[in-house]
Amino acid sequence: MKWVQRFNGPERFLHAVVALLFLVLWSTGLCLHVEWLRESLGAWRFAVRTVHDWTGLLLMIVPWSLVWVWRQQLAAFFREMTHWRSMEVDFLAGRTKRAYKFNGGQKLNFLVAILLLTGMACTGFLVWKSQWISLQTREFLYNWHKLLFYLLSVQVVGHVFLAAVYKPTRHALQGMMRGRVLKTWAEEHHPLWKPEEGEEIGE
Amino acid sequence: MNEQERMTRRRFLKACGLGLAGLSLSGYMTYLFGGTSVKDVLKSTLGGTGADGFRALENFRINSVEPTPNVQLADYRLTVDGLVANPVTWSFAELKHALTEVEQVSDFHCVEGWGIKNVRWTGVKMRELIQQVRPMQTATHVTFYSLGGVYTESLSLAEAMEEETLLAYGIYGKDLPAPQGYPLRAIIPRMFGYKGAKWVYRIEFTDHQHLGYWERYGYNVDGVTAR
Repeated sequence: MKWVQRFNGPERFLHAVVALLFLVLWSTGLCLHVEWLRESLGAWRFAVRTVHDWTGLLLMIVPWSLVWVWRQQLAAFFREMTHWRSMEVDFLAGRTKRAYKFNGGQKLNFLVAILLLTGMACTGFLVWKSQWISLQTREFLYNWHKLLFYLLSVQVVGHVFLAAVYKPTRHALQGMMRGRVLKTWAEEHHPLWKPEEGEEIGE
Repeated sequence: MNEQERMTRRRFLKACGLGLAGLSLSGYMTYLFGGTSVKDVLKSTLGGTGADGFRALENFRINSVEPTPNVQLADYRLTVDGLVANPVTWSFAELKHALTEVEQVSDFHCVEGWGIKNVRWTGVKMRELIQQVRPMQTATHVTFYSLGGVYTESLSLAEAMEEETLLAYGIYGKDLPAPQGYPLRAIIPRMFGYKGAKWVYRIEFTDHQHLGYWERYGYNVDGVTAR
C-alpha cells in the first residue's frame, strides 16, 4: 500500500491544540448551560466557570501564537484552505466530486469554524470582562454566545461524524492522526491534489 | 494574480461578510426574543403560551446552593438585629403590617450573563425597614441570612438605603415561588442577582462588611463588576 503525506507536524499539532481547548470549553460550557448539570455542580460552578474563561483566553492566544511560530510550515495549508475556486462552489452545489487538497465542504467547514470561534471568543471575553459594557449589552452578547454555541456544536458534530464515523470519508482521520493517507483514497477523494515530490510514502 | 484567483478572493471575503451578517442577525433575534435556551427561542418564535410575565418567570434560572426550604408561613419569623436601637422579630403578617407595600418593575441581571427584563416585584423597601429599626452610628453594613444556613450576603448601609433596594415577597402579582426565595428575598436591581439573598430570615446590622457566599469564591462584593 502506498501512502501520501497529508498533514505535516505543525498542522497536526495546531489541530490537536485547537481540538483539546475546544473540548474543554465545550464540556465546561455544557456544564454551565444545561440546567441539571449546573444545579448538580453546586459551588463547583465557580471553578468550572473559571476554567471555561481561562481556556477561552488560551484559545484566543495559543493557536495564533503557533501560527506565527510555524508560519512557514503552515503557509501552504492556510493558502490552500482559504483559496476558493469555482470548483469548490460547484462541489458544495453537488455539481462535481472533484477536489484539490481540500474540497468545498472542508473549506466551508474551516471558514464557518473560524467565524463561529471568533464570535464565541469576542462575546465570551466581553461577558467575562464586562466592566467596559453595560449589563444590557452583556446580556445581548451572552445570548449571542449561546446561539454560537448551538451552531458550533452542530458544526463540530458534523465535522467529527464525517472525519471519524462515516465510512466513505473516515479514512481522512488517518491524515490528522498519522499525517498520511492511502494514495488510493487520496486519488478517489482528492483527484486533483498532487502531493509534492517526496511526499509519497511506500509501506 | 490571474483573473480567476482575484475573483475567488473576492468570493472568500463575501462569504466572510455574509457569515458575519447572518450571525449578527441571528444573535440579535435571540436577544429580542430574550430566550435562555433553544426551547425558549423556539417558544417565543412560535408565540408561546401564557402571559409575558409568566413566560419571563419560567426564564429565571435557579442558582441556589442549598435545598429549597419548606416554609410554613405561620412559623416564619424575620429577625432584624445587630447594631440597631430597635431590634424586631416579625411574623410575616407583622412585617406586612409594619411596612408599606410597594410594587417595583425592574430588570434582573445574573452574573452568569442572562437577564430578565421588567420583572414586577411586590415587597417592602429596605429603606423603610432601616428607618424603623434605627441603626446605631457604628452600623455600616447589613448582612442577610438565608433559612438553609448556607447562603449569606451583605450590603453597605448606603446600598441598603437605595431607592430600589427591596425585600420582595411577590412576583408578577403572586407570592414568590419557593425556588425564588419564598417568603422573602432581597432585590437590588442594579446589582447581580447573587447579592439578593433568598429565604431571608435574619438581617443583621454590623460595623464591617461580611463576605457573602459567592464572594468568598471570588465574585466582587460590589455586585456590579463580575470579577
